[in-house]
Amino acid sequence: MKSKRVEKGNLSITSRIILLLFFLGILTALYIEHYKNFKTRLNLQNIIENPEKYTGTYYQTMGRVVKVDHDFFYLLDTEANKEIPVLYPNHHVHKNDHLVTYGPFTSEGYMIAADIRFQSSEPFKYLISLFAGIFFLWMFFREWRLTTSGFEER
Amino acid sequence: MPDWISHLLFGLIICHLFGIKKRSLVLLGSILPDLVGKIKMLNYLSPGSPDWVIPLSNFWHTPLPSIISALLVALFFSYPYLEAAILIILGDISHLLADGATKSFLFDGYLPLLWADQYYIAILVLGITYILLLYFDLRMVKNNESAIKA
Repeated sequence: MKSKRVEKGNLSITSRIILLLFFLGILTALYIEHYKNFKTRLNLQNIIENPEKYTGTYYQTMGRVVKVDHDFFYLLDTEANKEIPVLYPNHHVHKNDHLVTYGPFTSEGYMIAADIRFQSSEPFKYLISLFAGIFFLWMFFREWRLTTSGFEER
Repeated sequence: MPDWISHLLFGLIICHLFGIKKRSLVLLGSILPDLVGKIKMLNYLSPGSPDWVIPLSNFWHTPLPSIISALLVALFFSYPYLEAAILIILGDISHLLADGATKSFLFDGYLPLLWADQYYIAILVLGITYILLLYFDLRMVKNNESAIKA
């Protein structure tokens, strides 16, 4: 006689483990490929390390202004966690502003901002996402409970 | 890159439209691509994080890995596997569609509607849509009940 779990369309523990290893294997293989491509394709890290190669390349960066100095401001990029000098004459940028900047990089390694967009509400967005996360957990654990065999319906 | 409230509201609207009872699975899918993706927040906490952090964050946020991760996560539920996987993938797709509506200087998404900082517009529109759906649904139920009584 089949177990109730299998009858309901649930997978047996063995099938779950096999599938788990299978999916993990696929994800790992895909990630290794992605990582190799990431190292060689256009990204901020590569631009900063090799500015002459990427002279004139347009790129978009996002982050917080850490310093304003004459015609330059210094943007701490949120992804690469690198400080990028950005030339933006006649700017109205202030320290701690959150911005998206877009423009070409020069051979000296700084960006000439062709356009900028203020995103000063960015930290607030993360804060409300935190509340959304709590709401999700409440919704989730209203329907499921954690047991040794995984999440079971309440 | 909308906020999680927009993602959850979009997921709830999908549940409502398709009459899905297990809403939490769709909602799980609707934030799943961001769960691992937010590993990049490590960069805020510790400058000079390992160089695999950003690629991993970007990787998880692309269609194929996020769908495979949905198939993987569905294994942890004592629930009919295919059903759980489909519901999580549905949420996953809603996440990617919502993100595709984000404008950017570099790449204008699939359907560029809003900048990331205009998330409050997304919350308003999705929130009002969801409330209207609930309201009309409730009215329809009441009308049906009074029709049966009559």
